[in-house]
Amino acid sequence: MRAAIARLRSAAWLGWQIDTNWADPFLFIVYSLLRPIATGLILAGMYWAVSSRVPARGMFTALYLGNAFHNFVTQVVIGMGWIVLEEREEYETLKYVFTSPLGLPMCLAGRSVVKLAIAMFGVVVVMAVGWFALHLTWDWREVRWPELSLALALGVVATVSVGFLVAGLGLLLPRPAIQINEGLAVALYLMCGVIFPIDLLPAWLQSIALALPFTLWYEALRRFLLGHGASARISHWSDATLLGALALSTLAFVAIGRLGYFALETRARRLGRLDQTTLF
Amino acid sequence: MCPRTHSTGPAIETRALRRTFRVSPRTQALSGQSEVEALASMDLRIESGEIFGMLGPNGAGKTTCIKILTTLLLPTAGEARVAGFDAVREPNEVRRRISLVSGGETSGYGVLTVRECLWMYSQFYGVPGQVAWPRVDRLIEIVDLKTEQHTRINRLSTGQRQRMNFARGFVSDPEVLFLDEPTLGMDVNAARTLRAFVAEWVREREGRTVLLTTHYMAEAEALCDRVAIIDRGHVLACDSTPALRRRVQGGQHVELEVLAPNGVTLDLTALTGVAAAWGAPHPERGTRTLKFRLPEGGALVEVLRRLEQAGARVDGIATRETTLEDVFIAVVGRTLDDSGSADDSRSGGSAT
Ligand SMILES: Nc1ncnc2c1ncn2[C@@H]1O[C@H](COP(=O)(O)OP(=O)(O)OP(=O)(O)O)[C@@H](O)[C@H]1O
Ligand SMILES: [Mg+2]
Repeated sequence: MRAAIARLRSAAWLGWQIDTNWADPFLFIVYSLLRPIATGLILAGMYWAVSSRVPARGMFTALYLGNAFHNFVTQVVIGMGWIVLEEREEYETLKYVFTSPLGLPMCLAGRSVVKLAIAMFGVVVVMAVGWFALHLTWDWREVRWPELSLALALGVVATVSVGFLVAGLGLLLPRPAIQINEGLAVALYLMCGVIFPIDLLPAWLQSIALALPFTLWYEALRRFLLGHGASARISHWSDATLLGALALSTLAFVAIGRLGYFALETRARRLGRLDQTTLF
Repeated sequence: MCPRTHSTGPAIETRALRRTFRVSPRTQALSGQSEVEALASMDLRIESGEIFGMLGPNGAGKTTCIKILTTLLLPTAGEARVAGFDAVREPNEVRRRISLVSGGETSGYGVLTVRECLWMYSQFYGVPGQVAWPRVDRLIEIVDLKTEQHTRINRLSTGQRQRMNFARGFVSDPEVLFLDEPTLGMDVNAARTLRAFVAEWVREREGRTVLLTTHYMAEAEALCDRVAIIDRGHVLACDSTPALRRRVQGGQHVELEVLAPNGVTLDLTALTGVAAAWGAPHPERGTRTLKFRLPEGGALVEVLRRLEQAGARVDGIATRETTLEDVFIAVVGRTLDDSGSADDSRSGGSAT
């Protein structure tokens, strides 16, 4: 047990060393802060451009919040896909991690903790920018902390679970891994109601969006922090329904993430792809 | 650290181990085969405490075998056991007891220093800090990286990174250590030091086993208790080096340096008892080495006559004791140093 904790801690330490690579603090700041801030500001620009027709400031705050929290997806979900690539192609250490008692899943878990922390830091900064620079504010007395905390916890679990799935795909498909990571980042950005409410999606895409934990997560965060969501479709749901759906979707993705990751890992092990270097 | 398994069984055992790979459509069009058999049906038994060598030309299946044993790859069929555990069904038990070093690799986390990286790997194995630090420091001295220990890995030279990678294999003090061409690309001095260290490491500790693959005959000869000669996924011979040498004893080992004009072919298969193979060409002198063994009372004159008839000139001649390389030639039918051009140097000695 003590050894297992030491192992996990070493993976987190490694993640910290790599992800915060202080030798290049500029890149670190660009990657972890400027990007989410930039997307927030672009979003702001877009909304002000059309604000003569869409005067809904509350709607914009809701979208800005979703955009801020989407940082978890870009940093952690997609980040876990990048870990596999990095370990295999850049450092060529994947096979040594894989054949050590730490194992790749634990390494991913340990390193995802660091990515979660960096993502959270980014979320706080982006929200602060929204609050002070864009005057996107809410009433702190109206915030429903228990529900918000529950939603936050569920979202974090879902994030890491989907991250494992992406990592597993990276193991099995070394060559298309980059496109998968990039493509998924864009797809989730458009699908999960980050920059526009899912009500604008075609009906069939809406159904998919509603099955994804991130869509439900952002709506729950908006509702419990701001008092209202961004999607008209979801706003008809009761709090219990929304939290229940989020819990169900999270649970489903925990199972899919776990089973999927191990299935993909085994397949990669069968095909001999674990130590294939293909890019650099 | 996990408790050692004090089983009396072998450290490594494979039974009818087979592995095939599907080949790319392009390769298939060239070879007409849909899959390549990396391991045919490999039976190996390596006892605890042994340094065991695997010798074979490129593509023989050495790395494939190591990948299966280190849980990186699943076999197509057969059984692989390490330290008493099944590498397919009990990979976690196996991983606690093994370590792997692939030579010629420059792996390592560029952002860490040598010392940090080695320490971190020891933590991957859960080695307690008070054990890990002295061990890391000792290994740094052995691989001669003391002055570079606080240098980031991405600032190390290729050879230095390889030495760090070598040290990494020992930080967990594994029960079974897999060394896949560990000294590949290292300078002569470094290779010699590290070989001596491997020998000492196994001698000093009870129940440690090393499986080593190499292209250097001298390395296998100096280091290994037993050697398996493998080719195309088959174990062709497996014994101690003296026993292997005895197999081809009798007669004389002759090396001729031959100046052979292009287009000249030479067939020695007709000569009874002569197993010949072309060694590496010496482009600077325009010659090639022809290595062969003459049986007792052998026909050296006949060989020379045939060479002359073929229009080739002999530039030098040497005879010597049996080495592992002779065994290799006798068993595999070609030398190891030119296995890249294996197909024009098959036994029987025909050269163009
Ligand atoms: N992932 C793979 N896909 C397809 N074929 C493979 C794969 N890995 C190995 N092979 C094939 O299996 C055979 C054995 O390869 P292996 O790497 O085990 O050889 P080796 O004995 O280690 O050779 P070397 O001395 O060159 O390292 C080769 O023919 C190789 O082309
Ligand atoms: Mg090899």
